[in-house]
Amino acid sequence: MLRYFIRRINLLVITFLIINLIAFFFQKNQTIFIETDGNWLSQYLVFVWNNLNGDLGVSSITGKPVFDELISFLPATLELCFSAFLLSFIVGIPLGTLAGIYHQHWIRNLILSVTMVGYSIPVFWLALLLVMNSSLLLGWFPVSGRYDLLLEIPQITGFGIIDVMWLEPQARWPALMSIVSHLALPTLVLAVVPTTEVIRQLSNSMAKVMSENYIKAAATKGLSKWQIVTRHALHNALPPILPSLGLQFGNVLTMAMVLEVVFAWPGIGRWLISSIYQQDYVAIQGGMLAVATLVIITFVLTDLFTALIHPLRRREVYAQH
Amino acid sequence: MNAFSFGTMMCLSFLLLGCEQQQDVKKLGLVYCTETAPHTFNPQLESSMNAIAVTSRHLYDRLIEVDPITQQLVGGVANNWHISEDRLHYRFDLRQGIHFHKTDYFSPSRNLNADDVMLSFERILNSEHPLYILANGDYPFFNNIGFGNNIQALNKLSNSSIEFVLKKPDAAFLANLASDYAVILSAEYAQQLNDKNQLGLLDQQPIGSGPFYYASQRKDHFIRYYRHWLHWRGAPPMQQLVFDITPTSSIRLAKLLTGQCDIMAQPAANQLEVLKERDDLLVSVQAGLNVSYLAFNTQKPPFADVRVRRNVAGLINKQRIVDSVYLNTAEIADGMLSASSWAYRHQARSPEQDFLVYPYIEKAKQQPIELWVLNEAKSYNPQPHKTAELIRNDLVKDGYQVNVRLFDWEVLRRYLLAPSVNYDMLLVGWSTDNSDPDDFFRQQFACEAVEQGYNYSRWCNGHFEQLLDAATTSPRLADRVRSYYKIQEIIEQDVPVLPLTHALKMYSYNNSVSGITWNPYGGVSFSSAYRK
Repeated sequence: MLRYFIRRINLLVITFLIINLIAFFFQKNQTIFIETDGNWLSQYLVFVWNNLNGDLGVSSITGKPVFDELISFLPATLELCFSAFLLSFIVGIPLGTLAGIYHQHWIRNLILSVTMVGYSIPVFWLALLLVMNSSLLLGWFPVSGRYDLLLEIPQITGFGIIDVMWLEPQARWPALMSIVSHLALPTLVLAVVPTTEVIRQLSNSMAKVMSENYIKAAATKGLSKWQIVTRHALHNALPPILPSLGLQFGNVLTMAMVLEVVFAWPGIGRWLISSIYQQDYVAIQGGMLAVATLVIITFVLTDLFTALIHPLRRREVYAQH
Repeated sequence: MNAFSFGTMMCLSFLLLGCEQQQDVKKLGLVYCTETAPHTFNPQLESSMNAIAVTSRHLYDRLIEVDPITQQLVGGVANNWHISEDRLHYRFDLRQGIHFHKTDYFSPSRNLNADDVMLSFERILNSEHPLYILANGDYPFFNNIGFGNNIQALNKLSNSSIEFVLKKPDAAFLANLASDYAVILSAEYAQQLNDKNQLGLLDQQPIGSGPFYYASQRKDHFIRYYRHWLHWRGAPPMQQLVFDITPTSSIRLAKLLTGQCDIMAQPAANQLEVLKERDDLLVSVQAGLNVSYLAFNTQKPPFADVRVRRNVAGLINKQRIVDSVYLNTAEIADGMLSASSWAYRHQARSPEQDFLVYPYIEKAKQQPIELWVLNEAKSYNPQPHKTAELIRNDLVKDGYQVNVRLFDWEVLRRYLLAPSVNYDMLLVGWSTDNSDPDDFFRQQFACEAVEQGYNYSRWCNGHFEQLLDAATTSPRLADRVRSYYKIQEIIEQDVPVLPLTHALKMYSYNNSVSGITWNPYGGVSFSSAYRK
């Protein structure tokens, strides 16, 4: 496990350095910083060192450190991504399992074709459709924003659902309701693609597991289908797909940025897009670095987590088949 | 009653309690959906009218005000003023008992007095003032109208009166002081910040004496103000005023429809149909004192040649712009001033074009023309990009080559201030800040404004400057009107710009809100707004 751990951390460090290198050359071409002495290698090392310390430069528009701005906008985006992932697991795991069990059955075909449709719909279009129907026509959800602005929710962690706890007890409920109702639509839209991914991957993985001998053995033992699935199949089908779901995080983050514009969600996507309009190169570069780093870290962490709970994964890295 | 149903009841009662509280918050709060956040909370430093609408009328008071209905000057911080015979000395007597905001970062120990007025203007006039240095002397409005150039002295006569001494008479002086830019800051607060070495916060964490005070903000999300209980006109009925920053116009409309916003500025023309169908939404319409125009860069070929400017000006179909961009919520502009200004002069429509082929026109058609456009909606032009495309279409039909480039306002400002500016045409516009036409012409056509980047056509005309000065110094309105007529004639002949449209000024709001004051110049005011 230690060897595996070192290998993965190695991957993390190298990718981080490469991303920094790209950002570094981008910065050199823009010449937005005062050139320091020394050759480019030492400049590069200083650059990496500053980034590691959270010194991403100062925004040329607001005059504030980019890192501080990132910290104030990132939680809103992460809140959206986390809730979307949660929803995709809640919906995706039962459906994926179902599709996996009923191999070559109309249920599987139905689930997979619905999944395919969901996968092909552009998120911003779906978002607009939902806003149009469920907000404007039916009035179920608010159109956009993060919470009712007349309610004062302090910004402590930046995650609205957690920050509500700092309010007075009688103000907590309405604030939480407001946050959840604002979160509902963007979460729903953002969850579509990861849900389809969970379903597709899980159904394949499940189908593979269901044809294994130990499942047949369990069936001969007289266990019901439900028992087989919950005790044996799901347990073995889920871990192999975790790393590829971790990779989905990057995808979800990108879509979240698009959705933030549609839903006027005050997250990092809107911040980056307004930085692009204002040609604030320092902010764009800082934001890109932060997002890229976040994506690799998530991937490596899910990978390590998988290896921890699913020893077979480690074998792949040692090339022992 | 078992434990379960007891629990359910408790939960329900909590929910109801919550709802009740939410109702209260809703009743005492107002949400204004706006497209942009201000870069500073000090209107003296701001040039965008949209940004000023968020700050000036709510946070600050002015020496004098324009009555929104009669358009006469009335007292503000100054309860009366006296003008000397030679029209060079303006004495202002200040109202007693005006309280500054008390917030968690500042509590005032005294009421507003002459020191505060002195500080507010000295920071603009005195180039050695620490605040002047801090702001780089960049006071867009005051610099453009040449405010400092005409002031001989600013004297404190007593604790409750001050005096401006002018170098030459200026008919527009009082109107300038009544504009949204001429706000009164707190000298005590500035002193306090100076002691802490944080003077820069003066313009970011504002203290004024207006009906609301600054509570908090989240960048690109919202700005929150609270009611100022001790406001000298009486506390406003609303406890909270929140500005919801939503850049997309359709989302602002959607928020208004679902009740997330109470008021939005400048609904797009194609949204009016939707608004008309709703009984609970009202639209306030005023004739706009604004103009959208196409500025020619007169310092650079091909438009350094007035004949080319005239040719291009004659090709553009203004009616089509009014029809398809504004959907008839604007008037075709004959001149820079709209008909609601007292200096308006009815002009003939653009002259007929002759279709002879001149060598200089042919030459202009060889090179592509750079047309620069803002990529955001402004009060004078809801869809600048579309307007630019229509203009391009008109010109391309006649053989010109046009490249349209879109810019964010901040970026455009930066380019305009750069020493080498290489646009050929700029699609911009202007909304007036006060009732006097002087400000309108001086800010956009004075030679001084070329360097400041507000003279978009970079046009500098000696005769024009003379007339402009004559217009401000003459005491009789009839003489002033005559000068402004001539000024408009010169612009018409020399075509540094082609005026396109005067947009109507519109707000849409929920009918549960009453008492909003619509100021013809500058933004709305909520000091007496309440919810029915």
